[in-house]
Amino acid sequence: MSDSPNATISTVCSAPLTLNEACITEFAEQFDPQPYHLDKQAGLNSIFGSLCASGWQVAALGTRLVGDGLAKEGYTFIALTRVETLRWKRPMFVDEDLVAKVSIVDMMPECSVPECQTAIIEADLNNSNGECVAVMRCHAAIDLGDDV
Amino acid sequence: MSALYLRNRWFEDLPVGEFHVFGSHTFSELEIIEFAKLYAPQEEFTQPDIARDLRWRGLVATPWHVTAMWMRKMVDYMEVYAQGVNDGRRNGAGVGVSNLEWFEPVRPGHTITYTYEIIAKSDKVIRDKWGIITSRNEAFNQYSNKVMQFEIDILAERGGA
Repeated sequence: MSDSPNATISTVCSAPLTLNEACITEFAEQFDPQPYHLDKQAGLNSIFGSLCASGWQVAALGTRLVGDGLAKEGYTFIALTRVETLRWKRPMFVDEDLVAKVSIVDMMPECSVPECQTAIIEADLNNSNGECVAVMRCHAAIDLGDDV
Repeated sequence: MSALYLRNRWFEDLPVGEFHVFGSHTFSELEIIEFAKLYAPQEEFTQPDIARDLRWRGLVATPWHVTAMWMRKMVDYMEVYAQGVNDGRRNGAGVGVSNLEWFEPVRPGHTITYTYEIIAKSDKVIRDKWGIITSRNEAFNQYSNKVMQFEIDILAERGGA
């Protein structure tokens, strides 16, 4: 854990996580039951060109990866409180990896989550070819831990 | 067919100011835990007994779970009006979200109601056939407190009129 509330980190990468077909269709059945997230053939005929993950699944998974990246630097990530911007750049297809490249660009002492401070995060969510799937600028609640 | 169903309409048919209540969802403890195990495995979202003594004094839903349910409510709501348009033809992909904020925790048993309002239409044309619809979306709990809001840009196919 950092001593200074103003400490920023340049870039840290999470370990990759993969979404297989069952992961993608299970999420879609529950939260985003549109044909191109549920069915291979419908995916082929769609604007995306293949079965792909819901953008909300990418966001949730990417946020988990942001937490993993922050943990590598000793920060305990609790939850997002705000997403200033999230842009989906390309689809995430079956069996692709996702990696988060995380930068803390600022820290603020105030936070809406109890016992936390806020890290302003910029994250690139990339697939295994290094292509950007989504990019996000968000506010993360970080546990104050022993700094209190 | 004379009626203009929501999903049968082109970009040009969608008016700024159009407002919908997509519906409500009651979050159960089980589904909160199941979602969080995959996407937010912190104890606050996965371990009710431990969460009782943590920062929120009880289990809460992970923020993306609250947001993902908006999508489900929108899809279900629009399907009612789909009238056979089930290939997503004129109902394009989301391209981006802005000013997404979660204001207070959603706990097991809380009932969240989701609303949608078209606030802008861009003149931009994407790949010769898509326009961009910007909407403001809000979620309220059973006390009418706002728990979430965001804006989203969604593609809609041009070409009516």
